[in-house]
Amino acid sequence: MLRFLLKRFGFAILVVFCVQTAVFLITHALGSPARLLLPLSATDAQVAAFSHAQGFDRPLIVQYFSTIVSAAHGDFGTSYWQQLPAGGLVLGRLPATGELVLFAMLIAVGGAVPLGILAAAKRDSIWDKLAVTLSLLGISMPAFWLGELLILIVAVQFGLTPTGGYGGPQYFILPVITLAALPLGRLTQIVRSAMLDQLDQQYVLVGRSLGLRTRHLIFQHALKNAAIPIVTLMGWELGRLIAGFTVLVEVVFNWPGVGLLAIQAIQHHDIPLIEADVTIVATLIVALNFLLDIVYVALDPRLARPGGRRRARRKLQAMDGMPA
Amino acid sequence: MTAVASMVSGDSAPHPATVAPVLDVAGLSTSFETRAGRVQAVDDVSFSVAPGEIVGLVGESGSGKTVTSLSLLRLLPSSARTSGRVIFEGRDVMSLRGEQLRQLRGGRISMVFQDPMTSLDPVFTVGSQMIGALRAHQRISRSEALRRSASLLEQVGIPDVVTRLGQYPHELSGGMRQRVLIAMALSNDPALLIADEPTTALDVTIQAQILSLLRDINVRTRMSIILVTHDLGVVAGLCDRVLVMYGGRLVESAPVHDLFRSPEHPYTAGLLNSVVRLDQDRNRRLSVIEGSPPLLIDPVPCCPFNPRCAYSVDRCREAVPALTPRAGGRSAACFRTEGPHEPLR
Amino acid sequence: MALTTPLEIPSFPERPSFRRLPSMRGLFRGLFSNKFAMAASLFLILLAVAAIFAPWVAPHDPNEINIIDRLTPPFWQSGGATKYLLGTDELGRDILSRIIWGARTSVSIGLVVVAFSVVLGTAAGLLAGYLGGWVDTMFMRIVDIQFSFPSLLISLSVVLVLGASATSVIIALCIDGWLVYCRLTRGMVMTLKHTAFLEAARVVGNTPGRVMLRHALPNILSPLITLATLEFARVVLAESTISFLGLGVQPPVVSWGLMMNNGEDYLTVAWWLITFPGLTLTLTVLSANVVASWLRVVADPLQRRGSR
Repeated sequence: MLRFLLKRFGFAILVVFCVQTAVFLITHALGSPARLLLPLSATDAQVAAFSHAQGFDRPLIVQYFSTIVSAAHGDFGTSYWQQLPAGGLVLGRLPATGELVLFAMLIAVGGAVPLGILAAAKRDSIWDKLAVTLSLLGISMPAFWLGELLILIVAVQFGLTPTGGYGGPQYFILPVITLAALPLGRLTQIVRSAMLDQLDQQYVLVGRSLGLRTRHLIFQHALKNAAIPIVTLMGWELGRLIAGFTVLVEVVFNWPGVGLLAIQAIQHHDIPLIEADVTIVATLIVALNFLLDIVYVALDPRLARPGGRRRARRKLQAMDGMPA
Repeated sequence: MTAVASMVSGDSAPHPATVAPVLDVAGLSTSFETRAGRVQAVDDVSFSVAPGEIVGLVGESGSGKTVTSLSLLRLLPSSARTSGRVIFEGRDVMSLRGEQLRQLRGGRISMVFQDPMTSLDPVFTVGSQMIGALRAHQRISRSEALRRSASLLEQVGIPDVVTRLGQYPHELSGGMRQRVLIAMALSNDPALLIADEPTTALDVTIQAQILSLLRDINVRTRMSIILVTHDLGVVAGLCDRVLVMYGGRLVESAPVHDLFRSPEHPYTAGLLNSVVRLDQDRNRRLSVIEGSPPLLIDPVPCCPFNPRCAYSVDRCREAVPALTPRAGGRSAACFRTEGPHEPLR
Repeated sequence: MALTTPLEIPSFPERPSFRRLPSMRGLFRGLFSNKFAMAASLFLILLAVAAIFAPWVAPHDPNEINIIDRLTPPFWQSGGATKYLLGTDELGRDILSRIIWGARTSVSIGLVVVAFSVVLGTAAGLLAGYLGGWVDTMFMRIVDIQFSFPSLLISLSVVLVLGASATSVIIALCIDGWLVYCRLTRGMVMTLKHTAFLEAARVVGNTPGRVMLRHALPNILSPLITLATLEFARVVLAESTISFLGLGVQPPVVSWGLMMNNGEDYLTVAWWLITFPGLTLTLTVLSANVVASWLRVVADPLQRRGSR
């Protein structure tokens, strides 16, 4: 078990490292950083001078190592746009994003688990069809469209909430709902699928033959077994959420989080800030997945055995059709 | 015959005629709606089980024996339609409502299934699951349930009980898991145990142990057993009476020795002939029943065995033979053997 | 351990060598019985028609500016006109025409990215799966790591550096598009490797390449098509997202995302600017999901039971 966790930890570090490398390569190798940072009207001479001043004309390897080493110390350079340490800027925006994601996931999980269990327990009933339909809607609606619609209807038409910005509880309502829609839909599907899978298992039939109560079978046995694939897929969901949709929701609602900062950094061509933001976000995601690995191991006693995790993961992939 | 057959069956079974049956099945039929049509898995099956009797339910794959056993406790999925009467201790199981049915299952009637590897919940300990089985029917404390679980595990012959109770199913071997499952099935002293191929997935030596265990319990507690199997050796070694199924119908019922000595139904005869014996001529061709089992979709009104039967007459193609009683507590569903006839073996 | 332990055999699809793509007739019969799937497929076909025949189907030139007619509401509202069925935007351009032309953009980008990703990902997966060993480990390591990347942010960085355009969007989306196909293909090849028929093909004398192409590939096609459908939806959504952020396709190219970007500023006065492109996008993603779901049940019955 410990070996497994150590391996996962190593993997997490590796990912952050690779993300940094990728961003570095994209910004420094794919294009010219100097060109990017200077206005379009800059002459070649000005570009060359600026390049030299900033150290962009050093060999790529040298630049790379200096970036990595500084980052390891928490120094991501200075933001060109805001003239402040890039790392600090990103960290300052983290709480806002964190709150948004936290509440959204609470709603998503709080809604998906009962809905998914209900759909599985009453297979093919009206509840089942309702759950499937709702989940399809949730995963199909683009976050930015849903956000705009909600603003239009709730904030503008009915004036119930502010149209954007950060503040008290009323500012949270629309962004959280918007962000929660996709994971809610997806998680409902996952929970339902996992529960259906468990309810078809032999041990459930045996339990029924022994006269165990249905409620007991669903919530104690099936749910605990289903929890494993659910938690794993949920972690993946959360990662995607942070990485992608949070950005959109923050843009639409003008929410001062790391996502909005990333977009602003990109719009301002602010390379250090981009690097800082992407790296920190990536770190968050892998940290999260690592935490989930711990939970995962705690839930499934079979993982204590060597090879158990491989077997469980294979079963996971087969179950969902979607690569885990 | 397997090593199991060398076990003596014993003559502890009471005569069916003198005591009220513990289970009386009348006209049990089960069908499934599938995309290909309606599948009649069980067709008008009637039999009874006496107290303390071990009844073997024999047939090949697809004969309907497993569906029959599941139908008795109404454990089939919702796509199944079951009709008929299953009278147990004066009540018709088919008419029981939710909670009554739940109390019956695992309480007065229990089941043991074929595959011990997937029959236990992998994320709960053995002890926890046994406690669950006990407390579903008895209002006892967890510690009392644990104590009884330990005792039950001892009774089924598991050594080192305390350790086992704390282990997870994947830490136990197949044979051990099956014993645990049997212990769970017995935990509330059922009057009837339905065992669906309990040893098919196990080693031969473990097989013998499990069957011996079942017989011990039968002798000690007078618990009736319906043993579903395709292995005639098991039947010969353990059962008092045998029911033979084919194509979803019951085609023969007889006390075990009578069945083996002089089968009345051509299918039974074919089955017995196809068993390879140590003392037969090594160069002789293996005897088989030509043809394949019938598809159970939209059944035709003729004898299901007719296409493969060496003894069939015209009447066999036109009507379905009913299970008619013969002398000596036997019955068979065959037109040919209704009147005077040559023995089949 | 035991004589017959059916449960020791892992749960592969049984008899994979007999799996074919379902016959077209079987497909259509299945389609008609499921109204949802039928509606979804019709919508997608409609979309394809719009995309291919945009110049003839669209009532107006999507980039034709008519300042006089700017911000006309949809025809059923007061102030609307049947000339502009869904209204016009802030520059007087017809919304309906822009949606139709936007379909062309989204569908083409979607198809290009999916096509490229499928080819690259499947090839990588086949290689990794069949060769195993360090090749496999290397590929799967890359896939695992890249999977953990914040893909939207990375894509945006690429688009930034290459300059906003349809081409850079395509490139950015291809960079992480191939991953899922690689994983799926490799997983399936690994599974199939353990079944006898691939070995048999090899033993009989086929080269590894032939074994992979002629024997392994047909069995992978069903889940691959399902996945490709889902991915198409994802790519269309991703392109719209990037364009919505102003970093994707640029005028005169039309994209639903870009339309919504423009429309944001006029949300309070002209709701139709955002609503209709978004609705079309939602319906596209929804239809693709429904069709993929249905495909999964129909073409891959051994992996799905009941109404999953």
